[in-house]
Amino acid sequence: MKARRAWRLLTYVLLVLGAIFAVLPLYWLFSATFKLPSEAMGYPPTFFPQNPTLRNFGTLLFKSEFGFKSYLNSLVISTGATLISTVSAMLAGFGFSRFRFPLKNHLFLFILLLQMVPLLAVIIPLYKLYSLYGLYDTRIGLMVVYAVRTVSMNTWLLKGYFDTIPVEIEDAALIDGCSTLQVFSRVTFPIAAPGVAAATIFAFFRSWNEFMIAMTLTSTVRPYTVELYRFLGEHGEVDWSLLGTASFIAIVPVLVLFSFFQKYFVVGLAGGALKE
Amino acid sequence: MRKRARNIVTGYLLILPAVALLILLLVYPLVQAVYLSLHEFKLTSLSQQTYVGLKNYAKIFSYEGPNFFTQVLSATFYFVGGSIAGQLGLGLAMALLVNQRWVKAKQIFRSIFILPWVTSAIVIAISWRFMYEPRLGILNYMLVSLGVTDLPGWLNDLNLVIPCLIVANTWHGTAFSFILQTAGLQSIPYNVYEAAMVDGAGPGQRFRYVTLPLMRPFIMINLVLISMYTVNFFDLIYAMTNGGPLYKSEVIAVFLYHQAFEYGHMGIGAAAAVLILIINLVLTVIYMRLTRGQAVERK
Repeated sequence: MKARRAWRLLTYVLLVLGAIFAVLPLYWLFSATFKLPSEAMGYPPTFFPQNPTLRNFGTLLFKSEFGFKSYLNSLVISTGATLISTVSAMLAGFGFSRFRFPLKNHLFLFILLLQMVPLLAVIIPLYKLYSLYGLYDTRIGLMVVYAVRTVSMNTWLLKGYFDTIPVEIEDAALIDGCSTLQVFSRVTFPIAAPGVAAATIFAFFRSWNEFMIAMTLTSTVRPYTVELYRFLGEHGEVDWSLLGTASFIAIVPVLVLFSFFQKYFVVGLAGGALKE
Repeated sequence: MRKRARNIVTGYLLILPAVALLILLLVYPLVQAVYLSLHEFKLTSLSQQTYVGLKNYAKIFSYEGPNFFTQVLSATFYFVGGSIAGQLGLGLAMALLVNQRWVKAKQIFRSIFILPWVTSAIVIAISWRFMYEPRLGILNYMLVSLGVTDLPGWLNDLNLVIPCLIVANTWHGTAFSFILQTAGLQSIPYNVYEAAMVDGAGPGQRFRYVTLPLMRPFIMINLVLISMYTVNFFDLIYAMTNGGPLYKSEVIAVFLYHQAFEYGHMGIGAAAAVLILIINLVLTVIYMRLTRGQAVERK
């Protein structure tokens, strides 16, 4: 009995230590957000801001070279990419689940396999294509390539969801006088909604956090990830409190959003790695 | 019969957008990457290519700054191997701890553990650079408080740079293993444990003879997936060290990028891309073998 209680105590100690370790690096950076530069870069470092201040937000917005517009770019690009990815994955998932056509299984396997191709391996040809066809440094260019990063996974995820919905329910709705479109919008779609939510969130996160492609394929419409990198690199002496503030603005809304939708995200992800 | 034909057309139309996206922006560039790797091709003149055969590959293999085998590949394997050990070990340990039946606030622990994974690699790079910063960083401050006088340079230290990157990457990626192993643990029915308990198995034996064998396929799949992600992981190292100091952290992903976009040797970059693809292909084949094995076991 004693051994069991000791083990339970040890488990909680380890879990709390793990949680602290998971939060510490982000906390350390984000705490610089609320410190004056003299404190953030002074010695000794302070764990809690001594005189909490919001001044960094103002400095970042008005007095620094940080491009605030990059947040807007990120938002537009990620939203567009999410829409393209989710809608085309929904159509394809429904097609694969409900219709029979020649080469269906081969095509499905092909889409799944493409999930394994890293965009890093095709970044050079993409750069060439984008430069030659006027897609370089456009928002739409980034949207479509970001959509490509998630569309195969989402197709596969949504096919799985559509597969779990019995065709009989759809047939019943048809007999009751619904049109095909109504069947989809009133019967199939609501049942598959958790899957669609998972796909949406997955596509958005992947696009919001992307860096390498954006850095290669944009110069002026850059998203916040590239802007942060430039801000980090351009100054010889890094201004950590401004950098912390800029990261804070980019990440905190997403973390809040994420904590609400976490369930769907995990379902999508774990499913993606495991289901057949 | 008419209805069947209509079905076929509708099916193709539905999958068309997704397939078109993938072919235009993934399959076609993939073919191009192989094609370009056989050509001399400069960043400054994108529409001109001259066929050079395997020369780009020969150049990669004979490079001295950095040497492909002793520097690029060895840094890559070091980084990948260390990241696998860290992420898989910690992820499995945390999944085992959280998924004990009596643990309270499971959902809260899960949310916290996943935070580093949903954060952009750039923000991760920034926060770890701040941690490792020799003068202002919290790590050296803690060492000073402990009375250490010979402070390490962390990311500037030739021998510490890869371990530092492994720690940052483990911090970032462990959540993925955690989620996957949690799914694995949840797939084991509780009555298997009950049966083992009735047979008199202690906690250690239950772990050794029930959990571990049943988790094996999940662990193997996890292993392959982490290797793939880590080989292709560019953002973190690029933003933390940019391959330095002295090429010590020039992994193959960063090497490709430097060749193509910093030195302008697009052909050599494309050849490096093909090498990365080959590594991925091998890992994919292993992955498919494993998942097929798992599907059979389940039936």
